[in-house]
Amino acid sequence: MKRAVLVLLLGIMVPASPARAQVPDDWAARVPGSAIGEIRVLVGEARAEGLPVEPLIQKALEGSVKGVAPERIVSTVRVFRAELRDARYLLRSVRPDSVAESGDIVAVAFALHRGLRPSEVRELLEVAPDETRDVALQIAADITARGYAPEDASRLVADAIVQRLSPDQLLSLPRFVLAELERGAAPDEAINRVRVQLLRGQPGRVP
Amino acid sequence: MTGRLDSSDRRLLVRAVRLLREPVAVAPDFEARVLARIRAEGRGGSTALRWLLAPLTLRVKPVWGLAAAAAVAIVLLVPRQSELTAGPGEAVVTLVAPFPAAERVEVAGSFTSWEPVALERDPDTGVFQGRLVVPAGIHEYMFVVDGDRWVADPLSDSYADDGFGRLNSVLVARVGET
Repeated sequence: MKRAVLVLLLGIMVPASPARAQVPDDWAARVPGSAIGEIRVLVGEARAEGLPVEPLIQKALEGSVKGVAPERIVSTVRVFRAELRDARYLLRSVRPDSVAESGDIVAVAFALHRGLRPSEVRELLEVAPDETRDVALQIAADITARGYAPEDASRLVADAIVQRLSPDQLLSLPRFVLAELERGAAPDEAINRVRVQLLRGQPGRVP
Repeated sequence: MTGRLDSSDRRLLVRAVRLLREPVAVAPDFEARVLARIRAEGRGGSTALRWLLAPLTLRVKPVWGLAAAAAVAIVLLVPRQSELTAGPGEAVVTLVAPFPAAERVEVAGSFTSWEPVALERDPDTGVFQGRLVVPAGIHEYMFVVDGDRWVADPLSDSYADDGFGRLNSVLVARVGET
């Protein structure tokens, strides 16, 4: 074998590095000119308050790429900032001694946006450990968004946490509820059946 | 030494001259071998190039040869996309967009900063799909069909109001593979 061929073969075997998504530094250039002034003000105020600003920028970029009218982009970003404020207030009320982290603020804001009420969010924050908090809020909000009563949704998720379901198992809860609906249960009965299965330690099985 | 030779010196001199006058025996290929050696040593080029082009004899047990061949085959035959790996706090997600009649499908979401990223079409099924490395957490996204039609992922488990009158698909990306 020629050494030159060996050298070429080793060169082919070195894998290329995959590209990773990043928040663009030039985000302002992608927002309509008539909206960018007010968006900058909203982002600046949020930053001064210690709120996470990336979700606000993401919402402005989303509206821009979808071709939404500039004034509606501004109003939606403003509503989103108010939801972030509410979320941080809620977190402080549950844990007055700790500083609310950005990820938790966003997760709570998203849950409120999707229909969970502050009382249900507070209940979940009190029972969920750190590693499942975002998933617990997301699943309760998801079940609520499907038309179930928010108190039933949050109680189901709280029971699942007490039963020490893993985050992956928590993510399956909406499917378990859906399966009970397909078996003929009424919506509130479907949630109750899954709760019974949880208490027996067999989520996803017909009791 | 004087200017005259004595008898013993004379005999020695006569003997040396006789030896020098005798013909020398040379092999028939002597001249060819000398010229070949001169040509080889006078050849031009850099040391590195001569090293690369020089024949190399390898002594390898057959079992090691087979193992090396298998390793090369794995590296060359496994698709590039499977090389995606999630770093700390990241997840690898697979998105499937069942729009066989579409010419082009992209995905845009919070994990791409809402910059559309093209998905690849499976030539057999016509289904578009892509694997992405995204930050772990909750994400919203939509598909962009043929450049201008925004569509929620019909295979998503969850949807959320986007604040602009549409529904985004919701993705919960856990660290690792989703």
